[in-house]
Amino acid sequence: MPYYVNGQEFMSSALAKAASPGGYSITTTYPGGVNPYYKGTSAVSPAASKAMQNAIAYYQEGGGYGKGVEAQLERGRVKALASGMQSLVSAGLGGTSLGAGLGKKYEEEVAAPMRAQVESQRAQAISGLEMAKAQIIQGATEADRSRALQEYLALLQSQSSYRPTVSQPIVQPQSVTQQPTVQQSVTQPVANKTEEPYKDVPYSQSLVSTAYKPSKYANMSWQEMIASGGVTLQEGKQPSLESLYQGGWTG
Amino acid sequence: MAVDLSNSISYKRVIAIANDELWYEDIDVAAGTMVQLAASAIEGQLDTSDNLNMFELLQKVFIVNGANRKVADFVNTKLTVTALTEDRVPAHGDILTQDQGDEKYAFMIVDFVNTARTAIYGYAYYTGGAIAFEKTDYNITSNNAIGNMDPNPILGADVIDVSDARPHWYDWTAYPTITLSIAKYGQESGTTKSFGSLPNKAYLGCNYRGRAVLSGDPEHPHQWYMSRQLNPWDWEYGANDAQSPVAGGDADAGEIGDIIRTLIPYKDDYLINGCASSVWYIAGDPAEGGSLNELDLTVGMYGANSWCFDGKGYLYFFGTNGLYKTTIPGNPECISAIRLPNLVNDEAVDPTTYRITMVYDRVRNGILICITKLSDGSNSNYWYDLITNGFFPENYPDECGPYSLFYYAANSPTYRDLLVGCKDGYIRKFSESAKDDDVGPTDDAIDSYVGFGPLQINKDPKFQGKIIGLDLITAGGTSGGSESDSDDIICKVFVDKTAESIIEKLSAGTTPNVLKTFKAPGRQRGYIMKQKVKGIYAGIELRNSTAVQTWGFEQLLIDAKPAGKEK
Repeated sequence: MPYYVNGQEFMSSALAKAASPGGYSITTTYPGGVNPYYKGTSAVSPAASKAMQNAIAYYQEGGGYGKGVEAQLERGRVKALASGMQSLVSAGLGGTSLGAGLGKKYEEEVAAPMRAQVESQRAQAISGLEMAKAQIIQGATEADRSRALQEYLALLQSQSSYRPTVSQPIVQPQSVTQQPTVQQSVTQPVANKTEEPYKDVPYSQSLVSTAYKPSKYANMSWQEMIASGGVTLQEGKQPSLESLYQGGWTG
Repeated sequence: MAVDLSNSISYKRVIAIANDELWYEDIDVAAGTMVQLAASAIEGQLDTSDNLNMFELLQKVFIVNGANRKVADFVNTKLTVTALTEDRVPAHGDILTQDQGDEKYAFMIVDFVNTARTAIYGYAYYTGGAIAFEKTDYNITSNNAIGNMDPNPILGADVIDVSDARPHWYDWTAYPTITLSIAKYGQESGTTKSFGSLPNKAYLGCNYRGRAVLSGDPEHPHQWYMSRQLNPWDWEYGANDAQSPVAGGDADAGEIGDIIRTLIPYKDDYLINGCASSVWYIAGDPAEGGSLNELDLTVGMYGANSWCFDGKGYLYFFGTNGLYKTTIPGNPECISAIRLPNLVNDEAVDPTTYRITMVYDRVRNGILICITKLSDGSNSNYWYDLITNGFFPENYPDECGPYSLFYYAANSPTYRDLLVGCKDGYIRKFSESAKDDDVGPTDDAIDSYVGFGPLQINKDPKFQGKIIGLDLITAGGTSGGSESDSDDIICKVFVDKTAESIIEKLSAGTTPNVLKTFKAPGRQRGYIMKQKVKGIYAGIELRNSTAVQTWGFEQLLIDAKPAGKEK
């Protein structure tokens, strides 16, 4: 569930606060419109990438997945045909075409459903791995961007006389819409900038470090700051600590 | 409350085949009127000089006559169309629709398509005032429920003919290959589906549990074949479902089965396979938990029609040693063993030259067993009376030699009777009032007789006895009245020293010791024979062989006394 600050939509509460007028959010313009601290590269390790590729290869056609099933089906076929023929003989029907149909019966009733199940599981596994891969890459990219943003904010704070002249929110709208990014972008800066562990502090304190507050709001709590109109949370409830940590609202 | 039964009528018809032609009772003309199905009379369609059997299934008659396998279809409508694309005929069960405008529709549930793909047979029904399919003007579309028809629609111009002139006559073949529009029969949609083939020849057939069952295949005489249940066009064995076509033999595992001579369905419960030297039965359906069992491994059955069931469900059949009676399951008992111990040898019947037919006469409560020589119609028959458990030998004029026996439970009581398909092509029935046998343009006198003996005249067989009087009271009471009057009866009395001599004389019927004609009916003047004859054993024959006469008697009294020691 997104935050709205003066009509701007943010997935990250930290970024939303950074964009609040007069707050610790500072509007500025990167030279060339690009955060100079963002290197534009993901941080997925080669080992993780290799592991992911191996996992996908295992589930792909020709991979190891499902090879045991065929052997199992063959063993089952032999047993099913044998017991089926025994049953037919017991019923006096050993000399009928029903015996010839036992293989087809096994194929239709056992083998084909099992193969279909294996294929379904294969597709699910590959799909899940591809999704995980995408999320990891995306998450790594966002972590990079978020880290760059925090570094940039820290730089701006250290330059206390600096004021931007162009109102441009310090946001990367496209990059903050992914929830994994929220997780990264929220936890990273707060953990870096607060003195206490993020999980041990109240929501308001955890997000509004005095180091970030402009002097105008230096003596206000976060709720008071919202009440004063400095920042407007337009939708939803206050996020729980846990939901923030996990990167989303729980509503 | 009055009950109106006119809305739904169950029609029954007699179908008969003779002289290479099929005839059917045309009840649209009149009950009892037999009409020739002209299409069946074309040369090569049927061969009645060869074995032929037929059975009823799904309102059709299926005929097995070696390589001639035919259908007389009494239910379907026939559409003749320009040949459909190969492998693209509508499937059995698909629905064809002809929109005739003004919300008039003609529908057909497809039953069968011929091999040339030019004739579609199916059950037709109509809505919105339509009364029939029409040719030329309107297209016919298929719902492609199972098979993809091509072309679809069939253009009106390609509908060459529409016929409701039943019965339709066509070859009994497997359904032509279709292209599936859905996944069915264990196959994917879009694949072609074939329906196997019938055996090249078959002489035996029956309906069992809605399956067409065939056997009597000279190439595989031990084999039986079953079509898909309620689909006599599907012979693709090994389908994995409970209605799958099935084929098999009657034997223990690893053996080739006995030669099958007859197929006997008993309700939907059992199919008895009567073989040359054994009898087997299938209980239930082989594709749905059924079983194949031995009924008897020492008794064989004679032929395709040498069996019948009585009203109590007992199966009677002519087998290895005579006439048998059994339950299913059960142990066949030879019921002719005591009274006719040499029945089989006496009759010396050869299955290749004789036909034995049997039927249960539900009115007269007995079993009629007819043994007919196929070449000339000469016959030797037995009436087995279920009340007295007695055998009564009969023979009919050669023209009346029974090739087929059938009890016709007709709607009309007039025609409800035991029918005899005779050598000369006539269908006859037994008459209680006729006094002669009908042999076509003329009648034959009935020669009937009964023999009594050997009778031991004296109490002690070492001594002779003397018959001093014989009273015969003929049937009918006095002349006229309510009871049928007997005609005169000829009485022959034989005496001799041994019992077997009496048997020989009775059998020969010649040179009686006393010959007398008793007047009828009742006690007429001279009804007592006063001539005396002496011997140890006696035999008496009563007979009438005069045209337009019949006879019966009420009582036979014999007066005898000792006549001294045999010298």
